[in-house]
Amino acid sequence: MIKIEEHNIKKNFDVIIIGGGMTGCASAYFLTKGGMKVALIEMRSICSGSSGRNGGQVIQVEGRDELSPEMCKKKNSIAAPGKKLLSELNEELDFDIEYRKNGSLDMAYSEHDEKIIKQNIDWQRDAGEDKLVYLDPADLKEFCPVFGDEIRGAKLRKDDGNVNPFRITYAFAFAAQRLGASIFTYTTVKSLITGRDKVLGVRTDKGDFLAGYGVVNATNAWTKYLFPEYPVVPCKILAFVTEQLPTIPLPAIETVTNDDFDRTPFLFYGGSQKDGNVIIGGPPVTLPESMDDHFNEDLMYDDISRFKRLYAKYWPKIKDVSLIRGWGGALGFTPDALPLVGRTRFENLYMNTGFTNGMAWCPICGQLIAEVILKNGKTSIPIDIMDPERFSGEVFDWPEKYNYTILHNYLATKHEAERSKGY
Amino acid sequence: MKQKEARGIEMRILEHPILDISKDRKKVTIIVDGKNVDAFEGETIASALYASGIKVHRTTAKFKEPRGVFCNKGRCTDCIMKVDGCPNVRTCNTMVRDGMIVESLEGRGEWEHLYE
Amino acid sequence: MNNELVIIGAGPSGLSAAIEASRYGVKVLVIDENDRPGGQLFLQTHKFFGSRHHSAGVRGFQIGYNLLKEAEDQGIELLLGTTVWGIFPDLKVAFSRNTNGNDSVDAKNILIATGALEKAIFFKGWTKPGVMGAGAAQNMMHVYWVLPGEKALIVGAGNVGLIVAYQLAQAGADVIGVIEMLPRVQGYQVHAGKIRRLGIPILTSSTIQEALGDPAVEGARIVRVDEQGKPVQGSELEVACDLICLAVGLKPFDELCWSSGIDMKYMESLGGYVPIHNESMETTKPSVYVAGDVAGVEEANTAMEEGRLAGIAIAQKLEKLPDKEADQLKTEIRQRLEHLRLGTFGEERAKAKEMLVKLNSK
Repeated sequence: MIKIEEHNIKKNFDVIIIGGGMTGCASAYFLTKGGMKVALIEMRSICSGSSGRNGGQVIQVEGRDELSPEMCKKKNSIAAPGKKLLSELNEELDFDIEYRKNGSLDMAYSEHDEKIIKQNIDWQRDAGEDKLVYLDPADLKEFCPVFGDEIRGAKLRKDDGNVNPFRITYAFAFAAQRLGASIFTYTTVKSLITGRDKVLGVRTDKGDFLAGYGVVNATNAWTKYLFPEYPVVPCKILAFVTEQLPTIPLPAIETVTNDDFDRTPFLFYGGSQKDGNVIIGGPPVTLPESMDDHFNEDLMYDDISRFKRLYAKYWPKIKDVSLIRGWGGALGFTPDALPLVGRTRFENLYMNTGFTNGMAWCPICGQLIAEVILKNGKTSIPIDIMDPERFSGEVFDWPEKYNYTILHNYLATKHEAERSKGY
Repeated sequence: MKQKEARGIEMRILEHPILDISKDRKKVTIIVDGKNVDAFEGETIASALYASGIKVHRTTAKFKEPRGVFCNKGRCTDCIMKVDGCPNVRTCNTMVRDGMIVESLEGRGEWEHLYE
Repeated sequence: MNNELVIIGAGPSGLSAAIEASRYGVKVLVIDENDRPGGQLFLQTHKFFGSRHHSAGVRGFQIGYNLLKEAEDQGIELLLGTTVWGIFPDLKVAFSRNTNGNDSVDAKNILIATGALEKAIFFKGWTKPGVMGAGAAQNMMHVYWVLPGEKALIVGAGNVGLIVAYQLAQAGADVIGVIEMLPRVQGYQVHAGKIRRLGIPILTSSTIQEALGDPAVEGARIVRVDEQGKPVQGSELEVACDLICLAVGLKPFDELCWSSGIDMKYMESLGGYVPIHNESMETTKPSVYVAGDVAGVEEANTAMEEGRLAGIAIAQKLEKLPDKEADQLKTEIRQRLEHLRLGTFGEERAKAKEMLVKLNSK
């Protein structure tokens, strides 16, 4: 059980973390472990944002058209140590995070898909990756018999897999509390408290909290409400889960596909939980009306219809299985698909936000932000690529109505120049 | 009341002071864990099993405890069994069919036909 | 598919609403997840009481048949074996037939008439086969003509517990007793009298401590309780039985109410969380109505009256019934509901219903 703090205690801390998802809880743990007195402030309940709504996939480098040799190198520099940390968490936190290395797949449905995917494999191999293979349909069927005949081939990364994001988040929260961190839920930060040219704390709907060493923003999709200068936009994604199917250890899946009914390509992801429930997800059928509408976590009937069709089409053998739940949530998108982690230009304000593929990233970024604060900026791995100030001065013309694919296309055009270097 | 003598097949009610028990229901056969069990068209699997004295439908995954009919209304899922190859079918709201294959469920059940 | 009014639940309230609305020309679709309509009515073999208007002297299942016949005569569209699993913000009603596939209908008005679910109490061994709800036992006996046990112990001496004890005896079971945790029998004396005359003991201030047997129920351990409900040491009694029937109360079957975004309020006297509604049975979600046990656990007569009330309100909303006539009919129904809610049992419910209506107007 998460111990809920009373609000009449003294509210002076060393570090305040805003946001109780995977990143916030990981940050709280590593900072507390390093000797800081930490307060974690969460607007709803622990793990209620995208940390508690995703598919639990551990995919080291995800993406298609927007990847480039440079981008692969950048992602690997954080995701590789991030995955390694995941393997160590069971012992570190004394909690089973249910990490199963049953691989990750990106599937090709067309010639174009095949070309891009094979290219991605080449780029990553050039960056030193030896764990990628391309499977033809026969190999794919052997690797995972559940798939249907629509698939031309797939990229397999053998040491990726599935994990339980709730368990990771709660493991960090429990461990942080054991070491003395204070967690405040259903407490909303209204604004920062500033003075003497630095950030001094936060003002919440339940009173003021002061921080001697700093305030860390770990609010992901909600970043723009408190920190509009930092370009993180919310993006609504849906997920569905089936009843338990212990016979099928499905690998993690992140792919782009077409729906028979509307023909537009869109992201489709999936994986399986330890008890065998199969999760799939993707964007909603109807584009959210506005940026704020991405926080509406409802499903519509068309969404359910679409995902049922996809389940039956790509995994025809599980068409008799029951879908038991569906939900929505918002990821945090940044202009270059890399998060914002590190110091900001404002003294004592730190960012740890902007995650869309969290499992291999959030825990390690929790560790890195603790290093930034505890070791005065010296981190065990370079974090320049995640510099929160790297977009300073830039103006972003985000599409008004968008979904995950539209954002990815927007990023692809922005990185046209970079990608052309790779051909 | 002479109900005990009025009962023929195990637990079926053949005479009732108020209800009009139909005498000409069509007999069907379901196969339960390999054995033939008599049933009537229009009844649920759970009723047919209860009538034959079969009360235990499955055992739970963790503690291997026996479960059977509880709410009899399709809500609690205690009565689930494997029916025609599909695990987790509620027997209290699924009607029998001649030749239906019903199997006791152990834990979460296996979906063998997924690998065919 | 008819969609001026989509009714979820073909029990007494749903069918009454369908008949009433249909009478004024509303196109009605009734959806029920069971293969047979009629809801709880078909579980009941005893004669109902109340006024002649309220079918006094008629058995539950007969009332059910009467309603069905009227619905058939009106040509009401009925989808059976069909489960409604979602009501979306745009009033799209999603359903699947026999758990396969999915389909939907865009409704102009929706009436949630899903009735009630049985509550349970927890004691060691309560998950064993042979422990079931009172409604579960009634269903097995009266719909499928199967005896749920040869030696039965009933837990709960409210009306349901007393009635099911009698019904089990009628069907041929040996009812060894009815136990009740409180010091007094909670149901009507007329029901208690019937089972006492059959020689069935009623033990008050008693509860069940454990269900015994392996793998299914073979007996029970009963224990006396004091005024605080604590077991009295040394008063344990083991009895042989193969059926333990739980008759410990009903709660509104409100899953669809929650998922469609209706504001809910916990009301103990109505069985649990209840959808907030106004005097015309419309909830806080416009065009979504409730009637019957889902709007507060009461009984068949209030269910039917609330159904009629909702049906008329919807016909009025669709302008198929002029306001003057509609208001007159609604007033008559409300008067009958008030009458049904008189007496010690009804008073608390009446107060609770009043409070719900007050909350709705906030």
